[in-house]
Order: sequence, then C-alpha cells, then structure tokens
Amino acid sequence: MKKPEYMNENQQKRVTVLKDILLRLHGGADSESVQAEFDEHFQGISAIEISLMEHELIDSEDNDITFEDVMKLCNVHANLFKNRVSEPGKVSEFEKPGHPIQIMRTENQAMRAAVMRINRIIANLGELPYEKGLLRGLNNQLDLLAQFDTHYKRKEEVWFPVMEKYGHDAPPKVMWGVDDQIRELFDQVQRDLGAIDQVGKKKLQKSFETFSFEFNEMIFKEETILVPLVLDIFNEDDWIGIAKDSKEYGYTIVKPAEEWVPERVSFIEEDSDSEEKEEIAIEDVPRHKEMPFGNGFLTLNEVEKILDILPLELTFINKDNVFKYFNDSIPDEEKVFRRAPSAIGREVKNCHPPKSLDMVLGLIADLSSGRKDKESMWFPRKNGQFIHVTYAAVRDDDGTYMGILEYVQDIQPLRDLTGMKRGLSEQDAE
Amino acid sequence: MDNVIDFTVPVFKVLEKFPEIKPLLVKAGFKPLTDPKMLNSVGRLVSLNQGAKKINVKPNDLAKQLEWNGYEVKGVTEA
Repeated sequence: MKKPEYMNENQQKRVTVLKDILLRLHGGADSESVQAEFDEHFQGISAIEISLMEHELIDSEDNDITFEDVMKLCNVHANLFKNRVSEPGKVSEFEKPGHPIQIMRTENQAMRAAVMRINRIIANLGELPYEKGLLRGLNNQLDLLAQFDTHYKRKEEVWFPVMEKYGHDAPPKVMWGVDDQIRELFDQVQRDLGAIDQVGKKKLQKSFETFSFEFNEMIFKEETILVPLVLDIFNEDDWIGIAKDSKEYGYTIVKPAEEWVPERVSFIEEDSDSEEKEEIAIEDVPRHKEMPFGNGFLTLNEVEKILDILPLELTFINKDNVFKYFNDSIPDEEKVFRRAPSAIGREVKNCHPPKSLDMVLGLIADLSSGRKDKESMWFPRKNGQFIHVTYAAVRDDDGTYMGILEYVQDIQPLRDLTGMKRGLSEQDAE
Repeated sequence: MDNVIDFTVPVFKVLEKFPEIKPLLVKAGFKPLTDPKMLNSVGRLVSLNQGAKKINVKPNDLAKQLEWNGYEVKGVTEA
C-alpha cells in the first residue's frame, strides 16, 4: 500500500501494525491473541482514525483483508474500552443482553444475514417466468430487511441527541444524511421488485447491489466509528435513558431477549430475618431522636437540614466505590456536577465516561491507599462561577479508609470580596 | 453469521439464531410454536426433522420453503 504523504511517522507505523493484526485475524487468529498488541498501539487513538486506516486496508489491492476481518477487529477495539472499565474476565455492562450497544450489534448481524439471503435468492431466480416460491421468499426477506428503518430511527432519534449534548454534532449530521440516501435506495429496490415482470431481474439485481453496498458501509461505520465514539463519551445514565427510549421505537428483526438492568448496590437492608433481629424499617428510623454526634447531639432531621444548607455540593462514595449520598443545597442549574437520585448505589466507575475514568480511578487509588489525603482542583466556568473542588479521604478513628467526600464550591463570590463588612445587612442577602 | 439452518438441532435453538423464521414455520404447520410454553418445552426437545414428521410435513418441503427465503439447510432427512 502506498503511504499517503500527510501521515506522520507514528501514523504510518500504526497502519503497519493494524495491517499485521488484520492479516492475522484473516488467517484465523482469534481476537484474544491480538488484544494486547492492539491495546498497546491504539490506546487513545480516535475511532475515526482507526476506521479510516481500516478502510484503506480493505480497499487496497495488495492484501486479502476483508470486511469480515475488520468486524472481528471491532470486538478487539471494544475490548480496549471494556478492559479499562471492568476487571478482566468480567462481563462489562455493554456486553450484556439488552444493552443498546448489544442490540445495535445483534441487529447489524441479523441485517447482514438478511442481505446475504436476498443476494442468494436473486442469484437463484433464474429466468422468466420466475419461480413463485422464490418471489414470495424475496418479498418476505425484503419486508424483513425493511425493518432497518427502525434501527436507523432509534439511532437518529435516541442516540444522536445524546451525542449532540456532548458537542459531537458532525458525525450525527453526516450519518443521518447517508441514512436517508439508503432509505431512498431501498425504496427503489422495492419498486423494482414490484415491477420485476416488466423491468426484469437484472434491474432488481443492480438496484439491490447499489443499496446493499451503501447499507453495508453504514453497518461498518456504526461498528467502527459510532460505537467506539459513544463508548468513550456516554456514561451509564445516558445508556439507561437510551435503553428506556429505545423500547418506544421498537427493534429490527431480533427482539432483545431480556431487559438490561445495570447493577446497583442497595443500602436498604433486607428484612428477611425480621422476626429474630427486629430491624428498624427505613421509614421507622426516628428522625427526631437525639443521637450522639461528634461533640454533641443532633437528630437525623437536623443532620439532613444542616448538610443541605452548607454552601457546597457534597458527594460521598463509600469504601467500595459506591455512590452513596449527595446533598441538595445548590440549585440544579448552578451545580457543577449534577447528581441523580437514580444513581445512588452505583459503582463510581460507571458514573464516568471512559475518557475521564483513568483520572478518577487514579485519584481513588491515591486516596484509599493513604498516599494522599486530599486533592483539589479549581477552574472558571463560562457562567462566571469560579469552582473549587476537593476530594478528601474519609477515614475512621483508627485510620481505616471509609470513602471519599467530594465538596464543590463556587468561590467567585468570595474572591470578589474586598474591604470589610462587620455589621448586619438591612435585608436578606441575595 | 451464516444462513445455515440445521434440521437436526432443537427448534428452540434454530429460532434463537433466526427468530424471523417463526412466522414461516407457523405457516408451514408448526402451529404450537406460537405458544411460548410449547416452544420452551417441546421446542427444546424436538428438531425440525422430528417436528415436521409429527405434523405430517415432509422435511424436504419445509427445506424448500426455507431455501426460497434464502436460507441454506443441512441435515434434512429424506422421507
């Protein structure tokens, strides 16, 4: 393959490595055997760049790399993310049945199989008069494939808005345009089938070929560009929302066998042995009973109200990295980090997009091991706030790690203070 | 992903791989498949060959229907 001049040395080297990996996959190597090498060279490389390289390799004449090889590589690519998010050997969320990614992939496989069947039927069609059974089968299979519209709609109307939320406007726009072209090409195929006795098999063959080329290209783009891109930017909340909305649009050819339910830790103790232990149900916890607290006493009610008055966004994760509490003193629209009650009980690694995950996990390691007690960051925001964030390790009296408290404050009002004020205000401060 | 339907494996397995052929099978006479309970019990034990025999359909005729739909078949018993 000739080396385009715009590529720098590193890029050229990556193309060579990628080609080598793909050739091995082509030769029958399983994806596990190439995983380490792929991870080493393609960590942090954008999906779009990898996809471009793959495309060039498929198109070039001097090797045998096929579409199928690249599809195998897609799993390897996805594993790169998976290995950052979950322990080896453990099934990560996006591989579970019913996860939107899983649904998209299953449908892509089913749609490719349908395309292959249609090709086969057309090839077997022979000459006029066409076998009635084959024409029936062809109609059946085209009706089935027509469900691709649902697959596209779900992508366009459920996935794309989330991508746009993160500022990825371009890929959705381009893809949507191509989706519409593919829809038109499919309409042509259906018209040609309807009039096959007049227009003939050749015409149908031609229009289906045009359609299926673009159609397969789109599957390719979804697997090699779209999926890696969104795996990198969507967090679990996004996926939960997408899974929920997907149901309303329906599915293509294959219905998900089960609903995807992300793992959550429950903090409400089960009252299985209630006869023996006499556990207090959560609604019966005395909210107004005085309890010894630090140097004095507080009721549960007072604790809650006090935490909700501190001018800080407080978030607590416990020693097992499970998101356990956040307070409610800052209005949502002013919050730097919005929290959702539905996320309580979720492991912290699932609350972050893989992009920022390395930093988060590094921080947790430092704080839990005792290498650090605190970490602070500060930055201005476009809305005029100046944000100060602190992550503090929470430790028991004997030093046992209990978790991390994050506190976030807009310190711009404090930075703005000058002179002094030692008297009382006339009225309530803004 | 291939399009090969094996007539010797349980119907349940076949439908796992190709959920879209259920309407075809029902039309061919596999009426009990519309009942999830039947699919989950008998469907796990009976192959397309055995099932076709039970409902007096020639496995070859069923294979023909599936081939017209672009599938490849294997393991079809002659009868």
